Amino acid sequence: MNSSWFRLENELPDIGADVIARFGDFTLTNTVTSGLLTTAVVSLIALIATLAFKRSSEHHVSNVQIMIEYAYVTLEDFVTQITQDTRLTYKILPLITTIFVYVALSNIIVLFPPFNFMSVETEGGEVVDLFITHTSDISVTFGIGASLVLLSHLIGLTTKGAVKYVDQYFPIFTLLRSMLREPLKFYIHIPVFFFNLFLGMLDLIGEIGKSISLSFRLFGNMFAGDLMMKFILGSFAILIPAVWGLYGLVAGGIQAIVFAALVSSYFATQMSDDS
Amino acid sequence: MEIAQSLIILSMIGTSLGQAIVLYSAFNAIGRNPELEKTLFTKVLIGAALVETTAIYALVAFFSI
Repeated sequence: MNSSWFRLENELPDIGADVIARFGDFTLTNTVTSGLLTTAVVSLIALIATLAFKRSSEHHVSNVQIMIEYAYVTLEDFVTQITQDTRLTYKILPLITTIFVYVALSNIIVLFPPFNFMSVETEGGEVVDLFITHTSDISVTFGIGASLVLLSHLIGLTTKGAVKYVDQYFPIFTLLRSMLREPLKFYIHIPVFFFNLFLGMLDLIGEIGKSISLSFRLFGNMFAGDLMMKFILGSFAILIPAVWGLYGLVAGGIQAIVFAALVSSYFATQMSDDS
Repeated sequence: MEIAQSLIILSMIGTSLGQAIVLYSAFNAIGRNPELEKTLFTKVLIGAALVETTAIYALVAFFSI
């Protein structure tokens, strides 16, 4: 047996969510429930904000409105720092704000009571947590990350046009244009074209890597936080798990900021005209 | 399997060196130009979180072996 004093009470958790209930082919996992919880909390915040905005008049601005506006302006400055273009910031800010709020809240919501100790008994008789950290499931982060990278490419295709979009990876149209300019010396462009084709292949792999790295960064950080929490709770009962939970709050916020920053930089590179 | 996991843990060397470089240059910059501290703080946090990514890949590999 393990003789170390610093050990887990249970065996190491699997990567993935636990199934709470089954409805035919459809399974309800605890990732889904925490996603629903996050959605409910975000909707509640939006509802409170809307009510506060309605209640405040020209002479009296409510505190909630000041808080929301402060957060909005902070995010706007942050995105503008990355995009370096105010017009572009206004275009992507609604999406970035949505992603940031959702990811940040789903990173930290499970650390708060009463959500952190709610558990439920499954049909098999084992007791599992009702809510786990929503982003510590690879399906969630890969879904968000891959769809955002895909969306950035679709937006790049519509803003730049098909010719410029294809040209930035595989410069076929640049080659055709330079061949038409000097029809007699077309052969000098061929080696450059093949070199650019190779670079385009690398770019294509890089685009797939973007979505994988984006999703694995968020997933890994949150999963590592959960795992360390399990380790620490196996050894210490009080005080030290609280310190780790506090660090989890900071780490969840930072990871959400990093996620939003990377997504906005992807959108900025796709939407800027002068590239 | 244990050898592979030990090799994966070695990737922490690179991550710690990378984070050290981030913090070293940030503190140097603040020492030279103390007004930068406010704007540099969030950037250092983001940079450190980005450098951490390699360790996270190692973690994922650690549990998938």
